[in-house]
Amino acid sequence: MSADPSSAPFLSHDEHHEQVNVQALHAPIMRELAEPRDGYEAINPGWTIAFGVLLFWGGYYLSAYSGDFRSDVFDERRHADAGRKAEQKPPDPLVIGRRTFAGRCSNCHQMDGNGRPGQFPPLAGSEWVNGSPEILCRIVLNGVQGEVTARGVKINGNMPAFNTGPSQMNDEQAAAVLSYIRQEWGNSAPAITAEQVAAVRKETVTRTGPWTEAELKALEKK
Amino acid sequence: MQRGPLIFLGVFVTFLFGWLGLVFYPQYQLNALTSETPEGSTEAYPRPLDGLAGLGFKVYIAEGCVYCHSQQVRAENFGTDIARGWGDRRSVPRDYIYENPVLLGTMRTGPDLANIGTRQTDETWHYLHLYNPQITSPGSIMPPYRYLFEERKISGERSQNALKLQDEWAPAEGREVVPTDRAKALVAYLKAQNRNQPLEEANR
Repeated sequence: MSADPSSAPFLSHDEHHEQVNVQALHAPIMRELAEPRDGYEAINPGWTIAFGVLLFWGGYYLSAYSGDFRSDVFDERRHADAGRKAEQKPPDPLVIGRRTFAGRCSNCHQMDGNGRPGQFPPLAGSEWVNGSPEILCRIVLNGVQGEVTARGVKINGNMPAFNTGPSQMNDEQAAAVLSYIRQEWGNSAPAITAEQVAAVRKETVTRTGPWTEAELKALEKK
Repeated sequence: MQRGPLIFLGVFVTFLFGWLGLVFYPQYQLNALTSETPEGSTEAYPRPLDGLAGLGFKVYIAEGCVYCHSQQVRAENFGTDIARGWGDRRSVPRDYIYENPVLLGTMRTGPDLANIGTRQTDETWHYLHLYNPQITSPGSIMPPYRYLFEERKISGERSQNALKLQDEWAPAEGREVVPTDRAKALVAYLKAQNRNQPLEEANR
């Protein structure tokens, strides 16, 4: 077929002058795909392999992370991590200390250890924190009430006891949190052991109320 | 429609499957959970909220605390919740059996409150913090809830539960700020939030 439509022999005289483009006329038909046929066609073997691998992986994943489909198993990595968990090291006391501090202490003393002026005393650079371990243990176990001076700032506070009630700490937790505050924010006092806390807890077992600054100062002189 | 019944059956089975897996089976597994007495304890856990804390639950809902605060501690290998000190262990379904609705929360604009009763036991802190978060937590984006408090003239002696407000927060001379019943209920509820009791399943 000639590219020049004017040479088409079957066009009438009038049509001849309308310059019909046959290629443009057929273009929509050429764009259509082949009519679908009934029956099946073999698929590309690559897909078979890909879906097979996917199915295999799905099965493995389900068995590894299903938690046995039990309602009282919440760790989906129970099986996958079983080997790794056994060789876990005991947690670093400073990590436990930081955790306990963030949860139970930082609401008042703040994460930067500076407290709040007029409300909560600072721990960073505090003579109490860096001072006698026995007195520090007493403060945490029984709390303090009344006026306290720390880092030259006078505060009339009310620190709760941590040897009882919902926020009580065991010897390890108290030792960890005290060691943490004695070594954070530029403080550099030696760590406190769980045995030291246990000894103070035993000594103060009969005490119920919080301490006052005067009582603690008297202990210091002894 | 040529295959109406078949399409209906397909849609029905699809929804049935979802319902069985997401509604029926969890109900079947978890509906029978009861309180437990943890080892080394004499008290059953959990227990329904009673008295003032029970009323505080309603205040917590009414004030919309749930929009910014969650009440769920995620597992140690799934986020920093435990590292932040928000709880000693992860939360499990048993923690919530007496709560309706369960206030898990979806947003953490503020810190998690699942164990706020163990993290802050001091009532006066809670009152000051609700009155104006800037007093106890400078830089906090939590709005003040002053309408849970009443400012009034001191008649005779200063009330025992009046807030100890200092400096710029202090009310005018001769006046005091006291918590309303709603504030007292809310603080009682917050102080009752303790999901740290050891449950054996929390380690599984």
